[in-house]
Amino acid sequence: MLEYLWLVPALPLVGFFVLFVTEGKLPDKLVGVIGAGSVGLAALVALGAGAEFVQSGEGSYAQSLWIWMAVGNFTPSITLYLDPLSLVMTGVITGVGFLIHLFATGYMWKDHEEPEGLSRFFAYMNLFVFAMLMLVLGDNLLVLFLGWEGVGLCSYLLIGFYHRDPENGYAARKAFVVTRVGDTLMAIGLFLLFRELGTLDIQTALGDTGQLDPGMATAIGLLLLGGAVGKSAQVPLQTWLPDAMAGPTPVSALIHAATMVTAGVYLIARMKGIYELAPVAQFAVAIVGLVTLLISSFTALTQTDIKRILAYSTMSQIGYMFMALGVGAWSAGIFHLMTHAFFKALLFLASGSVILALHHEQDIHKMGGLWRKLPVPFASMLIGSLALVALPLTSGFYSKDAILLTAWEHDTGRWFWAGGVLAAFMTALYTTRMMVVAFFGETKTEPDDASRINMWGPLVVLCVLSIAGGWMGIGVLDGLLGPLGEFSHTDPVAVTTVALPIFGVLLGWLVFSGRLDLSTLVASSFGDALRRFWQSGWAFDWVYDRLFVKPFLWVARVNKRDIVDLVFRITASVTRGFHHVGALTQTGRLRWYAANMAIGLIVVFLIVASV
Amino acid sequence: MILFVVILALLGAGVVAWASERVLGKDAPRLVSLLAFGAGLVWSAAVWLDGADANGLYAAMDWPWIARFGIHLTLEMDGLSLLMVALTMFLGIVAVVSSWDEIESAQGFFQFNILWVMAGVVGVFTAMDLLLFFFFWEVMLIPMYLLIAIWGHEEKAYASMKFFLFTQISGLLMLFAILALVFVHHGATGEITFSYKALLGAEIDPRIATWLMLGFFVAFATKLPSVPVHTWLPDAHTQAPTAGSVILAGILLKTGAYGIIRFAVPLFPEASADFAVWAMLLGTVSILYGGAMAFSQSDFKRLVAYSSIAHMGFILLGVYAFNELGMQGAIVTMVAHGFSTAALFMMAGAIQQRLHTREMSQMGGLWKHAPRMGTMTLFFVIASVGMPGLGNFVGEFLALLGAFQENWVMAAVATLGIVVAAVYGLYLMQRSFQGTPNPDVASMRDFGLREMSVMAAMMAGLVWVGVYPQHVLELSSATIQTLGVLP
Amino acid sequence: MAIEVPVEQVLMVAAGLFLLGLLGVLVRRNIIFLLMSLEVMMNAAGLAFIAAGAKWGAPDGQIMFMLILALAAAEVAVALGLVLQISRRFDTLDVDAASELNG
Repeated sequence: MLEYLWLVPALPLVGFFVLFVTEGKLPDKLVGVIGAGSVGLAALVALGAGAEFVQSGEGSYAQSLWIWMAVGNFTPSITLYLDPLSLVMTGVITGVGFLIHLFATGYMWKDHEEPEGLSRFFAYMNLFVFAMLMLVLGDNLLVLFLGWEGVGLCSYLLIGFYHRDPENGYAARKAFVVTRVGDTLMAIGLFLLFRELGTLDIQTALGDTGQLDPGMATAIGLLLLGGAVGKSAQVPLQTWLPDAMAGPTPVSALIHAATMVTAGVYLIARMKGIYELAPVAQFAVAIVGLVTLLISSFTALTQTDIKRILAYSTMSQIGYMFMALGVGAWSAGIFHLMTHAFFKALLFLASGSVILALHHEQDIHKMGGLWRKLPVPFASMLIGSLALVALPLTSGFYSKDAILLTAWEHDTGRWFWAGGVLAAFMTALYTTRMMVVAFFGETKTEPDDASRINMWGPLVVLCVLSIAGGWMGIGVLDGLLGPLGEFSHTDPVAVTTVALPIFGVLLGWLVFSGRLDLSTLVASSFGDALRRFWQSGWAFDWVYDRLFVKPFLWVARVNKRDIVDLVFRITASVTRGFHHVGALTQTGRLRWYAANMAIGLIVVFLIVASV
Repeated sequence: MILFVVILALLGAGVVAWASERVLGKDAPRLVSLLAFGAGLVWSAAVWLDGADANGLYAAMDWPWIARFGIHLTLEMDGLSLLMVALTMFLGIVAVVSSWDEIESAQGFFQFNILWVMAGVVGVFTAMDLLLFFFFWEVMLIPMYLLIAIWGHEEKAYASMKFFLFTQISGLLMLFAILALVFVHHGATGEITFSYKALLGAEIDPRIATWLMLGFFVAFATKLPSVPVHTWLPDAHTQAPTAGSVILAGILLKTGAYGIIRFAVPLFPEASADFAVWAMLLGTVSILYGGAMAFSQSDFKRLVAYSSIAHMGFILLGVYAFNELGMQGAIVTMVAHGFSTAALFMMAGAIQQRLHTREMSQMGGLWKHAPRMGTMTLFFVIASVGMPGLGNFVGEFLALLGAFQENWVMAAVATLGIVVAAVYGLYLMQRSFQGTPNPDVASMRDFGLREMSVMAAMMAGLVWVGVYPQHVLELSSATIQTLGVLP
Repeated sequence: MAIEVPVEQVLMVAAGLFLLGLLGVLVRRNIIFLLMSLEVMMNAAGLAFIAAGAKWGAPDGQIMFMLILALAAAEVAVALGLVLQISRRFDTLDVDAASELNG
């Protein structure tokens, strides 16, 4: 099967092409079959190729397709490269991607604005899967960049899928532009890497890092980090992700939880060789992770929109992954990426079922008491939440535990450990809040459950993965990616790490079910100010708006007529002024001309005579 | 010989188109043009498949014209020229189709002007005698002026006069520079010649060379256009009929780029190398300023016009990087921009024809009425935003990569242009096709087979250049070697 | 028998005639008088030519006068046509009325 590796990205591309060319004229059922089927087939091929790859015992497998462009010594080739890292990513993308596509055939069935909307939706989704696969399979940073920009484009298209609401268009453009800021840094990083090493081939470049000046390595590392920060919604480019929730929920699950936003983690893990040369850059990765982790987990506590809670939670979980890479827990970071893809996709899809049943009600305060009426979504949410909180035996537990305990053993890691544990506690708190407020208490909106097997089927599979995905990690992944580390779970550090989330869940239960009254604290002026500050996402949007958006808009408004043109307009008016002065002498009176002629003649005579 | 015939054939087709309106009715002229450009495209494809001769030329001729002053009818077509001529023929088809039923008066004369502009363009791309080059440079000017002045929109008189003056004055500088170059060469060798090849190695006093180089550069930079001599372009584009905009953006701007690559730099390599920093600066400023100005506009066509300025900045940046990467980037950008912007102007024309406005405030939500047009706009906006896999990315990435080797600060600043491109490109999309459907627009005819086939051809072109640019790169690579400016 | 008239006197008369004509052109508004004044100016120039020719004993002066005569004839032919047009279009012979070519 390995020689058919090219089919993995090609199948979704074909799906996209078919849906694009037919312009939505296919019957909806066929659209669903093509949309989900192409990804499903890709998953099967990926499974076959992966199995053969693992059996072969080789470290990597490369399949060259063609040279993209050849200019002098710059010859990036379109090569697919399979190694444990890209295998895990491919598995997640095609596997989880297929489940989400399947779910979407139900979710999007009637949920589109135009008759051809369903076809357009699946076309974009298939294109996304293709781009994401190119991102992880590309053996060249330029091919990676192709995928990188491609997923950004699909993210834009899908966030703005309901394009009649201008708000959604704004969110989509914000996502694209903010991530493009990161992409710009990444592109500069690629230019620099090419200047220093003369290649953009990842494996060649990583093999040549010996020639790299450490200062240059740091610069490249930081620039690539800039790209990763944009794509993965980390501080300071995180502001687009909460707004991106304007897209349909399957999109949030696929792009803004399971796959695209983890591309930054993949990029840094892929360029491990560079970061090992540049400790400063690697430390910066850890700091970015820690800061995002804390900021977003506090913010999640104050959100009321269920999807925004999950969005901030996604940011903080990716923060864990960044922190893991920063402190050298490479395989733990990727392991968490995988488990997070399972449980966060589950959470989003389950919340999507809830939202659909409530006719697009997303405010958790207007839900309440749903656990009895929507059993499958509730059970899914519960299992997903358990994994998110990282209670023992769930998948999230294994990966998060590995990250935190590795951090503890790192030189500067104790602060990271402390921050991570605090955030784990906050995670438990906000997750419990979400579950308690949305699913317990009295019913505020009557649900109307219309989900069918193509919707709850994927939920069940993801439930299983959210629990069992972690056990698999211990056995299979550390064989593939490298050891996760040996931890004893008896010393105080490990016990604290495990105990704090549990404490968080208990505290959350007490507070949000009303058994422990904190309303005076929350209502105090300080409490209220803090809540609003957190709710605004730590005022990043406010600052960026005044620092970048407003000045740019001001310049655009003032300079609409192009100040440079003024030079030419002034030249033209001066010329025209002379023309008017000259025209004054042109009276049209014959005698006036004759008199002037006579006077002119006399003057000339006088001048000649006086010389 | 064959080149002369091609140019004459285009000129002749113009006369035939004009005459055919009287003889065969008003639908005949556009068919004549379509046929002429179609034949031209087939011919260029055949020449390409036929391959180059030992000197890398696909066609060549050299007849004396005004022999006592060393002026010859020298026409040669190498890789770069072939690329540009083929693009010219293709965009000729696009231009004719885009104005298929837009023109109501004097259709014959309209097609006559289109064919004559294109004949001039083909001449510019193949002339290897400086006076002949200047001659063709002027030949393309007058019909273009007429296209805007006769069939333009509200402010056609202002726009066409502005276009004419900018081009004419800068062309005059070039004529001075050509004559001065010939005299300098005459003084050194005693031979009067306008031949490009003979003048290529002329020994010139460095101070004089700088001035002569500037004479050429100003003419080409105005045509390109680069900030600060760009202001004729938004007016000319906005007021021109659709075919005029397509030709102007698709191919006329490229004559400026071509002139820089073929004449300004190789004729004065040292002076150009000294000037490189300034040219790159102009390119960078064009990229950012053009982008910011594009965002300011509320007129669909004007926005696209300013975006052209930003794209042309990449060409300056790439050419003056003085390495193969940059040069190739510039050339690929020329081709890709020809497709993407021509398509966007065609779209602007189609919208104006349907809604009688170019103001985006009177659009919004047009996707509802015309999903095909929406999809096409989206595609070409994405291409011009620089999405990998489409042609513009290859060009811009190579240009930036090349420039980075030479001057990393400038390249890094210019890279910010891709953020600005995203800002104005997506804003264009939002205000025209997305958002709440505008209640004033009751319905709108979507694209039919005729428009879609041209659009599909342009899409295929962009994907082709974006995924496998090797064909373009190989054609231009041969030319770049013969220019002899790269280290 | 011939009376010698000094050339200076003839020139003085020519200058006087010329000034008279010029004055007529400048002050008269009737287009017919204007034309007549023009004729006077031309004849003044002709007189000066003849005087100069006589002074140097060369035929050039007389040739020039004949040229002026031809010119005057042609001018009158054109001018009268214009006068007719003007009087028809403006319904007057006032030359100031025909000032449509102002800037």
